[in-house]
Amino acid sequence: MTITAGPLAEAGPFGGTALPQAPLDDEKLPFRARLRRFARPQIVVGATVVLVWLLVIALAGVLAPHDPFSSSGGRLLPPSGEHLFGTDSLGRDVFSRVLHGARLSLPIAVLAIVLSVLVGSLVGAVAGFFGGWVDAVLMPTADITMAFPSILLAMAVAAALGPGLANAFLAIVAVWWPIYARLVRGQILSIKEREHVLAARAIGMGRWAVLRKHVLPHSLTPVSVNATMDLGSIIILVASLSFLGLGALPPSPEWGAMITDGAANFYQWWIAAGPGIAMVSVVLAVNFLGDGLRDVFDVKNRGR
Amino acid sequence: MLRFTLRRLALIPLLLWGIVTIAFFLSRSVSSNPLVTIVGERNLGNPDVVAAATRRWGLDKSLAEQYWVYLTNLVRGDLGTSFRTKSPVLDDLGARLPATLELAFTALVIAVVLGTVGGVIAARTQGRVADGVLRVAALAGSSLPVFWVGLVFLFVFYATLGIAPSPGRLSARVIPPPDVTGFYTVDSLLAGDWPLFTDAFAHLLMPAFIMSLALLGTVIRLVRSQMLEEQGADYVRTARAKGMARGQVLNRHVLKNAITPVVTLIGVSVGLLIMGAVLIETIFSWNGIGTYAVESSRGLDFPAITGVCLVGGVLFLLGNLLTDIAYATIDPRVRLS
Amino acid sequence: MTTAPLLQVRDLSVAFRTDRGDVEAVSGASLTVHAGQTVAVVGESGSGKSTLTAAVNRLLAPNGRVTQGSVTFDGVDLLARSERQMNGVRGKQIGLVPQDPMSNLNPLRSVGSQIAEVFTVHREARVREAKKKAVELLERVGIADAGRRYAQYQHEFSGGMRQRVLIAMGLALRPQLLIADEPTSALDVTVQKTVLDQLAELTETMGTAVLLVTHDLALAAERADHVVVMRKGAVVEEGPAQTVLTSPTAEYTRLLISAAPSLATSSMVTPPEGTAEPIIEVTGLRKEYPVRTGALGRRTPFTAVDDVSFTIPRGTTVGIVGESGSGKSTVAKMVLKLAEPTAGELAFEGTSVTGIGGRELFAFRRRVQPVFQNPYAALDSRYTVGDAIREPLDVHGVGTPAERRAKVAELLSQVALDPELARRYPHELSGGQRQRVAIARALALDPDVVVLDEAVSALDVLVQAQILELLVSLQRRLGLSYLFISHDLAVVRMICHVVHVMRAGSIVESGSPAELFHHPTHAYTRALLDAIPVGEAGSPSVVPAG
Repeated sequence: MTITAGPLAEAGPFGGTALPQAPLDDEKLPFRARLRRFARPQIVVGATVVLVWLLVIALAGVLAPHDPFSSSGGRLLPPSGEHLFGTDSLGRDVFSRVLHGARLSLPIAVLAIVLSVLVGSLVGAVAGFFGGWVDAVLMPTADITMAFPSILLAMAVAAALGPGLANAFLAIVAVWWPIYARLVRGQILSIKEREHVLAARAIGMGRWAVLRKHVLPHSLTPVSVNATMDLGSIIILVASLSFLGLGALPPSPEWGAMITDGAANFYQWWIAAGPGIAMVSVVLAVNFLGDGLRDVFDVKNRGR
Repeated sequence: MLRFTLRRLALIPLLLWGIVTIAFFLSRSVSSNPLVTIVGERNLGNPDVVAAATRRWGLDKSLAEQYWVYLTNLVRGDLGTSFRTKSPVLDDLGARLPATLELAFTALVIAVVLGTVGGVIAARTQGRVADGVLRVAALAGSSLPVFWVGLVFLFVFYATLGIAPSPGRLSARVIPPPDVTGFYTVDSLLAGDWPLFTDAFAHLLMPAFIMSLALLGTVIRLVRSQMLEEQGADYVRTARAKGMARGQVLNRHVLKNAITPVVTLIGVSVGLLIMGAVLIETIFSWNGIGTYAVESSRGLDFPAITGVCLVGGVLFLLGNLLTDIAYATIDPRVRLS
Repeated sequence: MTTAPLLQVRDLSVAFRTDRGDVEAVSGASLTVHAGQTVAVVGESGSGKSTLTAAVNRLLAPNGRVTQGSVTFDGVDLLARSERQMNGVRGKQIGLVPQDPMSNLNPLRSVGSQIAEVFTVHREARVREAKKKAVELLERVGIADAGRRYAQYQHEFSGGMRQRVLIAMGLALRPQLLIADEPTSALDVTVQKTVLDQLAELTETMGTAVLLVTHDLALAAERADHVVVMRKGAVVEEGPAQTVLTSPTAEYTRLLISAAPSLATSSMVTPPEGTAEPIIEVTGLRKEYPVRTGALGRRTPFTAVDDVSFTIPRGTTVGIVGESGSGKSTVAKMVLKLAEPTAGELAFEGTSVTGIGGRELFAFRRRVQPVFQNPYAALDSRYTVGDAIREPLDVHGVGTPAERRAKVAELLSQVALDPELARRYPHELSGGQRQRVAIARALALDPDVVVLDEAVSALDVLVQAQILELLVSLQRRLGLSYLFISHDLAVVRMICHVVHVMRAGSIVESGSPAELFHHPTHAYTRALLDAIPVGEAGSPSVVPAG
């Protein structure tokens, strides 16, 4: 590497002067430099696996060797060349069911997190920015919901609405949005004190415009990193609800429901192994991705 | 400090009221008929039985009336009677709570101790192999669906290898110790029954470990990141300028500062642990609040469901309060604000 | 001097590994410190002065390394010593007093224990005796009630006292050399003087050599025997303090001297002809904040601004000077109507604007615009420079989009920036350039009044001088009126027609800069004047223009 003489912006000698340090967030660097920052092993591995699963979702119909809903062999057969993960109690090919299950578990989870983030962010942003009675009215709802242990609330909502994946989805959103309300509210509270927000007010910008243009964009990064990391938890939560009988109904090949079947047929380990391994691989990949993203944005913030 | 605690305590009843109200109305918005559970499928056709049951259980009153009755009873300490077990919900909960607490507490200790150690090691070996392995392990811990891992562990260690005991709090046909705390481990020690203690402990270990996994991962990551952050702090540099070696600075300054956020985690982890409890207890045949919750929601047992939610809420809020107090104790800055 | 020097740095070069490749922070720098001598290293940000001293006690950041040169201390090559040996040197033979007292003390441990630690770490004393010595040290640095204060935490001390604690820590083992890295830059002006006096007294008594790092050339000349001037990693000049100040050899040093406000010989503005009518009139302004104190949370009001009155005559610059907590920034916010006064009147062009809102407030904003202190924080990093300057025009619907773009280019030229910069993002610009952008944005709506809240305080001396010149020329050309807020009396003197000195929420003295400087009446004004480092022990060397 060539040594270039020049002023130091980010590299930290010890001490430093009384002058303010380098900028905080969201630098718009040249595209290639930005891209390079994302080339961490975690992100690469995570993104690859996620891509694979996206392909599975798209091509499940083609990739699955058997029909997931009908019997294609004897019942409770161990894994073989014909049935990579064996068959379940009704003779259905576990492997095919796992592939098709991806179409249920994953999109639902993504939708759930997106909706939670949207609802939560809106509530949190309004509460944090306008404060006062708006805050006093909106946040206790979030607080109460958060005081409810999430699984119990999800169970209660799912039980009230009745079984089914759609209802499980609603239950999860009902449980998850307050997390983003709190997160965004906290962000907004600190961002709105920053000087550039003061500068925006000083030129006479209306409050909603200031919120939209100068406050919210700065909270995007932590929210998106958090959302990526939450995605894994939600995938598991969907499966957990199904496992308890409150989510997907038979004969749906949803992974949690399949594991219930696997628990019932304990000694036919392949029935639970298939969906379990699939779920772990997805969640791990997503968590890797989220962890890597957080590192990238964190490091950028520190200028190192 | 006192004002701080009092203010927090004052909020709790409000939040609990909110929880109870939500749980109450949720459970009663169910479309299916709870009478099925109360009188049994067979008797549904018998109008006399149905009428008697409806009256007895207060189901003939309007929803608002039922709510009011419930609240007034609640203030007196009566959580209603379970539709399924036909005994007071409070008694049901009381009988089952210790089992869950024993599990949760053990899981918490495992997570915090192992997690802190892991986090410190990861921070000290930053960039090297041990750090990478620990980070991946931490991530994996948070990525594993608790109920599936439970099944896998049971299959591998119990069914196949035979080194883990069967699911349940004690081996079959073993009599539990005399009830003092409800914790089999503690009670057997109190009774001086060593073999009983080992049996209870052996049964406790695996489910508690699995329950700790999610939290374990978070603790490792948190401790690691906190330590790394503190390591870069100005006062660390000043300490080194005084002539302290890196290790000394780590132990005397960084560690304490880095641990404080773990304290905050403990409050939050109550939610995680309850979730774990619901799932793990089902698999390990653990007779705690978790199985009670699952059975109640399946059987549309309103009072029980509401009771469980209430207990869960109380535990969560208490956990938060303890966390806040602990934080204020450790960080002198908080005390004065 | 014929005796061997205590510290000898020869041809030192230090480089840092960054995302953008290796950056050289210090290039072939040399300096010498003799026993008992005070040597000041002066430079702007990026000059490498702090890095140089970090290399001396080998506490460079992990991504830094010495690429060439030698550091000899007391005859020993420090660069060759092992880490373990260096631990023995640090604190005992070379002490450090770092810059920011708040972040340099562990907030979770008592202050006294951190001083005592120096003794125990070097095995100079056992725990109990170390504590005793620490208490003695606290007394020595002028902290009253030392015994009780020992157990207190960092946040229970004021800034000046925290710095004294750091001095106590640095001098605890009576090291031969003390590195003082901008030891007072984070403190109020009056506090700076007392702390530096204390430091000087201690080091003289103990015979400690001091390596003083500072960005203030006047301060360096006042406090040091020998001055080393650095620029962009290299030493450009060095010599005895008075020589460097009175007959500098390097062009850069000359620039620094001419730009330093405290060494300034004339004001930059001429007094206005006749008396202009006031464009802003502030009467009895008061701001209270409700604050909870006490165990039961009684709400007692905290008065940030107490009955402040002044006017801003059209076309002039009115300065408000004060230290932290004086309320000057709050006054600025109220004039900008970014904060509402608890009591008092604000008039603009003779009309009261005290309680206005809605459309009137919107119109008011066009006439009164701000420039804030922190050039890094005042511009939204997600928008380009052009966006930032154009935004006021967008909000007020001035002209067509094409006209607005043209105006942006015109404004950029007005602040002596290349119009091409409109497409850049704030982080691509230097601090001085950003501040010019902030000024351009403030001028976008053709305001009558610009409120500058510490607008040059965060800039390097040379850049600061340029910005001040720009402000003065803009005032002349556009007939602007300024409200100039600053903690730096020397800067205020250069650019203001009238100065108000604030303390604890009230104005204690007002007058023209000349009056204040030559005939200060209030004790606080005198204290402020006293605290200005002027390069030599004694008289201020200013002859104002008016």
